[in-house]
Amino acid sequence: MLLEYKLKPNFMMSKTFYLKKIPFVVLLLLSHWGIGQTITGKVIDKLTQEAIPSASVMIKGTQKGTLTDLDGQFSIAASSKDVLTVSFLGYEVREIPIGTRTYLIVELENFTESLNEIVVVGYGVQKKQQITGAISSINNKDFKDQPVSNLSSSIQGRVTGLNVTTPSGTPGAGLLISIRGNENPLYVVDGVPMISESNSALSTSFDLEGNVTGAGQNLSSIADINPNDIESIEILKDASAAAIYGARAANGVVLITTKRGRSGKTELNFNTYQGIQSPSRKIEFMNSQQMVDLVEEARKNDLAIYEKDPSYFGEDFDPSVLTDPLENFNLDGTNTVWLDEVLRNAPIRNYELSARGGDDKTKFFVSGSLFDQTGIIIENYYKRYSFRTNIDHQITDKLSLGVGISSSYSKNKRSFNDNTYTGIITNALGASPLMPAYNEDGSYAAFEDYQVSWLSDNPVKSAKEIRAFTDTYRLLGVSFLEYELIPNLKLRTSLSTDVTFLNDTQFKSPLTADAVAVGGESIEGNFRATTLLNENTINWVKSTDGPHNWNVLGGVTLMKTTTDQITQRGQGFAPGAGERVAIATNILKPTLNTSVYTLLSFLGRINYSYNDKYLLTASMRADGSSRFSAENRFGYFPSASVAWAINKEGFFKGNTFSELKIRASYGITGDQEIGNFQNVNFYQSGRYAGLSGYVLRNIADPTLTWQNNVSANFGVDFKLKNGNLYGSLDMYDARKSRLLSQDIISGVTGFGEVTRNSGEIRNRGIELSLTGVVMKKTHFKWNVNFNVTNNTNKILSLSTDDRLVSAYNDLAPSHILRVGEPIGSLWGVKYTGVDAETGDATFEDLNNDGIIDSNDSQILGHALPNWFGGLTNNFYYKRFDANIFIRFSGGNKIYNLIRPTYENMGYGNDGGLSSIYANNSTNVLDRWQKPGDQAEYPRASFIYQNYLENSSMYVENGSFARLQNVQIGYNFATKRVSNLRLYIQGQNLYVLTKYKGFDPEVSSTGGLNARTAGVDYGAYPQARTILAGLNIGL
Amino acid sequence: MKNIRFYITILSLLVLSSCQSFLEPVPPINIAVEDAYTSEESVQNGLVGLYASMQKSNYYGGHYLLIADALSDNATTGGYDNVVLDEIGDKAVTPSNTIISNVWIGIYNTIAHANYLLKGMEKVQMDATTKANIAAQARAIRAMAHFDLLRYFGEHWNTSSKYGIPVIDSPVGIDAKPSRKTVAETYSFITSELTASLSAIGEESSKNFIGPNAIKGLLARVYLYQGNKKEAAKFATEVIESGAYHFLDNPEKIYANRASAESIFELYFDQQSQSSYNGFTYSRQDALRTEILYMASESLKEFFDARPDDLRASLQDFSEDTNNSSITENGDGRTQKYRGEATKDNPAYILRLAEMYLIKAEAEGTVEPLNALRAARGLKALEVTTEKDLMAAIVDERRAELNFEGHRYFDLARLNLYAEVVGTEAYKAVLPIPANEIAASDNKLEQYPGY
Repeated sequence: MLLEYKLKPNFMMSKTFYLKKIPFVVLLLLSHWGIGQTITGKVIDKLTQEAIPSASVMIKGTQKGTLTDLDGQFSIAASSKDVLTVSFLGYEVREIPIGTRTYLIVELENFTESLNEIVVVGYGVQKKQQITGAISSINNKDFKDQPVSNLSSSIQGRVTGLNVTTPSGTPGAGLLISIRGNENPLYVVDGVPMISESNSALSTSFDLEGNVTGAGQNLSSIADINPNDIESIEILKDASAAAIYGARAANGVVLITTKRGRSGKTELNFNTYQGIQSPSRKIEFMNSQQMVDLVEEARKNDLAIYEKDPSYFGEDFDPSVLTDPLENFNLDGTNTVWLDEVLRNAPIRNYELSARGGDDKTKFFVSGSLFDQTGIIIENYYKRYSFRTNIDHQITDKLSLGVGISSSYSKNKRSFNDNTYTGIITNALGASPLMPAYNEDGSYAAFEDYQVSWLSDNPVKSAKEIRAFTDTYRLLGVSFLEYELIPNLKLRTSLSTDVTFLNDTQFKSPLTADAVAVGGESIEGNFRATTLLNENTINWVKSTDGPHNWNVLGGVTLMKTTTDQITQRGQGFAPGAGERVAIATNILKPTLNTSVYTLLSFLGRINYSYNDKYLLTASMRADGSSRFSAENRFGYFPSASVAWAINKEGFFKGNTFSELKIRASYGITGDQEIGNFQNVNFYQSGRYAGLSGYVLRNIADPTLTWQNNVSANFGVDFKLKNGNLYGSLDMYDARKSRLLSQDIISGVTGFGEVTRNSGEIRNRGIELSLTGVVMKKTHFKWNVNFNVTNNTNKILSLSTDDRLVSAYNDLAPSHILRVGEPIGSLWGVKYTGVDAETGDATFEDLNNDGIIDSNDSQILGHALPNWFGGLTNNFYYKRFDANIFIRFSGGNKIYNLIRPTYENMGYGNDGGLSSIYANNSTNVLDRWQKPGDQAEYPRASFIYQNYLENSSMYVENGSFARLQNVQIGYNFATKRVSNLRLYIQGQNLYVLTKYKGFDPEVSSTGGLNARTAGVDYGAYPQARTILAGLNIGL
Repeated sequence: MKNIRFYITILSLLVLSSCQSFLEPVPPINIAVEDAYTSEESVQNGLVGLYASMQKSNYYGGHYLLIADALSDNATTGGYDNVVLDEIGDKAVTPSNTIISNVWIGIYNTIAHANYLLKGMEKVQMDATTKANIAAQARAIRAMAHFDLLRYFGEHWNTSSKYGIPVIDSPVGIDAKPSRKTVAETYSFITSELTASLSAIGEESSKNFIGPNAIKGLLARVYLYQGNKKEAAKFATEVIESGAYHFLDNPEKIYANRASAESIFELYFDQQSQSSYNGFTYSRQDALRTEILYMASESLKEFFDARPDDLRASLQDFSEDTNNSSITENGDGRTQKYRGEATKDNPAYILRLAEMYLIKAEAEGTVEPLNALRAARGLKALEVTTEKDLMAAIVDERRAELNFEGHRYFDLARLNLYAEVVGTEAYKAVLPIPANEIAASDNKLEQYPGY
């Protein structure tokens, strides 16, 4: 009877029956039989109590095993003396002696919630409990399925010490990434340092004469990697963790590990999401009537002053400009809402298909994906196709090889907004509501014919008639061979490459103001970068049952990067004949930039642990870079760290902690991120009157050498015995010295700046990360992760103190570099409010000379946030899961430098008094109108600016809390597939902030330069995304 | 274990042997300055580059000349509420003005190039005549660049003043801490260099390169500023009497053509390497005031309105029919000297025949050279009786002829008219030393009093 039951699988599924009636009898009987019994059971997630399908259940020491089914159930023939090994990827491995039991519920603990997690470190892996440095680790499940192109934005707010700011909503745009106050970390993908700069030469950031002044719109080349191919991301934060990448690790290291195959049944996964993006916030502008009222009020105010005291306006002033009707200033019913003309709701979608599997010898992971994001600014879109193949193969017992190839192609229809005057948004922000986008005949309205001198073109025309594309082709390839010379001693050699080919095209049609005079203009740029890397390491691991554990690593690496960039411009295009440079009637002198650099490094590391109680890591790297002259070429980057697992001490008797470890580290990392050949004075080719010659391009400091970052870290990791709370606390103090900076030199040298080692900056901070289980019921689970970082940045020394810098070359200085202050200190005159009697904007006359001018400037705030972090809530209820993620940042100020344009209080003088400067936002409705008014905004004035651009009138609080992500999913119970999950998600749903612009997370200067951070000049607004997604696993 | 040692040894040897060359890749397009001058050809390349260095928009590519008009009553500035440009248009330049700072650096860049070239070519074995000719051009350009700095940043009309400019006559390193020379010392360097180069220069070749007449023209100009009228008259006369130049029937042709018969030295631009003049002063037909950096002022319009027969009046356009109303609203207009929106290859008119006549008239105190010029411009001969009237006529004639070519600010300064004509403080006739320069010199550079 009992045997029959066992043979009926359907009946076995009935949990109730087993649990309630069978156990007794079975236990009793089977234990007597001794062998040949069938053990059944279920594998579940320890935290969520959910079934784990496809988990492996093996009898230890044999090849016998099975996999769990969809409901996590398994059945295996075993004897009472056997031990079951239960494992599943991403989870701990458990070994369970069977004993007298025939039904088992096996709880597996997810790695990310465990201190036993394996962490990727430079040139190897380590158990998390053996880590002695400051490393933050984040797993795929925490960032998958996010509607973002850039992996960095999918991890923003998730780990301590890492502040990822989204300076612009441009699809594919770069992000400002800072690790413990240091911008632009080194990215290492499966061991290959990846070029992470913006490589597009297209830029409409011009100075007065049309030359490019800044890097322009920043496109991130990190976006070439599909975030969903990534298994885990490790952030190496302190010197102990990062020094193994010595030369380039001063700003921290982001280690990216992609998914690899695993043996077993081949899993097929299909993921997709479809969503809609909308501008998350719009600035309200005055309608036609309100704008006309403002300007007429401004003229009336000025007239009143003139009538009281004509001398105020100077000798030759003709008051008729205050009374004559303004041209084209008629209310004819036109009421254009410009932001609605250039912004839209736009779809976003993603498809990806991956397979992973293999056998004992060969394992593979392959994937392909399409990411398709339409911009919320008209005409703009970004598409990325990416493919990956990772293969591992065991040739013999001692020899194995692996390859990883990732290729991608992206097409970006550009929208120029960040870092430019002629941007679509910057123009739309000031455009007059009296002007239509199109004339009645369908042609573009001529912006010159309407009020508002701010515009450089009709914004809709700019969007449609400047057609620019950036096509990027990227190949990242790694291949390696690993050989076990003798037991525990492995030799590994790898050859890797990172190849980028990028093509820029931009056509400004003859209809555009920029190119009408030349009959249309086309730009074509090609960029190529090739990195070749050879790494050879030898690794000895002695891991025994005894107290001493050793892991010793040594290696040599060689790297060479060549870049080549050529940009051509052509002018004069026949209508309809095409838009490429080659067919232009006049082709201008191309610009060429080609360069090369090499790096040779020797590295070594020793990990030693005694009983897993006392841990020691020491590493050393020596880097030689071609960027420095022979005598200063090599930099040496040592580090050491120790840790003590207190909970393993005999005297530590408490039951409170299952883990308690203190860590301390100290070390030096370096930086050489300057242009190539900056150590020599050099010429490049130039031409004059048809002849070619040498033009002086660079003046050098021949003693140029490595920048150093000396850092110390002290940390504690802990975990409560019941597993309901664990976390880390870290404190760090880092000094960057010999900063590689652009330093002022005397112009008599022929140059205003030189790259040299000068200055010292200190970053100090505290990081706290806590994860806890708030509630744990049978069907309901709620856990929370909270992380917060405080960072204080301070300039300790500078070669030239009080150096003023401008966010835009032709604007007045907006920032200052001053010893004792942080980098990115905002500079300007302090605004003291509206004079209730006169309506004048008043300012602090700092030098008491009776004149308010730039000499009254002072520090108005700091652009870099002091604290930032995130709060994640995960909920599980039966088959539902939900995630609510809030990100916050604060303590910083923003220079909203576009606001003086669109809050100019009816000013007209820059338009030559024939027109006003720009339309105003509805904020200025709260303006002074009569004596005694307590208003936020001063009196409207047509002749004089009753405001001051570089003043605290436009410095705003940049603190915010953002409801970054809300996701609700449902896991279907179906036997046809192993996994079927449907979810809905909202991204950037709400921002709590006082900021008046589009978004407090902004940096119109592209975010790459902390010196001029925190400036808003009409950057691309951020989107709010609502989507639905599907995961299917076979 | 033996195997391991073997592998390690081989690996180390391989790596170390190639280490040095691996870390010294050959720069693909850069030429180290120290290695640049090895042959006659490379010295020629250096000279070509020296001319190219003057094409920068901070120097003779645009700003340098136009600022001298914008600081005077000839011009005003537009632009998008651009603070630094507004300072220039408002004749209220501050030491932190980035345009002025870039002009300073830009001109010294040409000087630095000349110094590297002159030093580098010393040891090169080459044809002696060619070598002397190239050196003479480099020295003349270097002297001109010093003079161009002195006109902006020094008290150039006062030879007893201590406010000259740093004279840089050899390559300097990045730690240079310059200080001012006196005006007399600065002039002494400029005139001696020009004189020396005149004696070594080869024959007249092209108007786009420095030849004997260009050096003489520069000497005439420098001596006039210095107050050495005898020498000024001598060199101006030599240029006029060289017979190489003559007046055109219509002054518009000077600007429509290139290297015209009136041109002595003109910096070359072409469609491939464009200058900024058109973009700065005209841009496009429908341009708004905000799109143009340097506009002709109402004062210039009134000046030409009072000279109805002057052929040069057509070189300004104040008409509402051809200009956008935002430009003409304040009575401003656009110069027509730099037209050619499609080509933008407008040259810098550095030395022209007309200036030689004007120098000659001023230096000799005679009206005849002035009338010769007036005749060519459609004007009747003047009869002046007093020196004062003559001087007034010369100043007006200079304004009529040389507006938007970078003269007015200097003329008003050296004739002590600046404060009166522009209506501002006298110290503004000299520009402030840029704040960064003073800081980088460890305060050795002395700021001009008033700033």
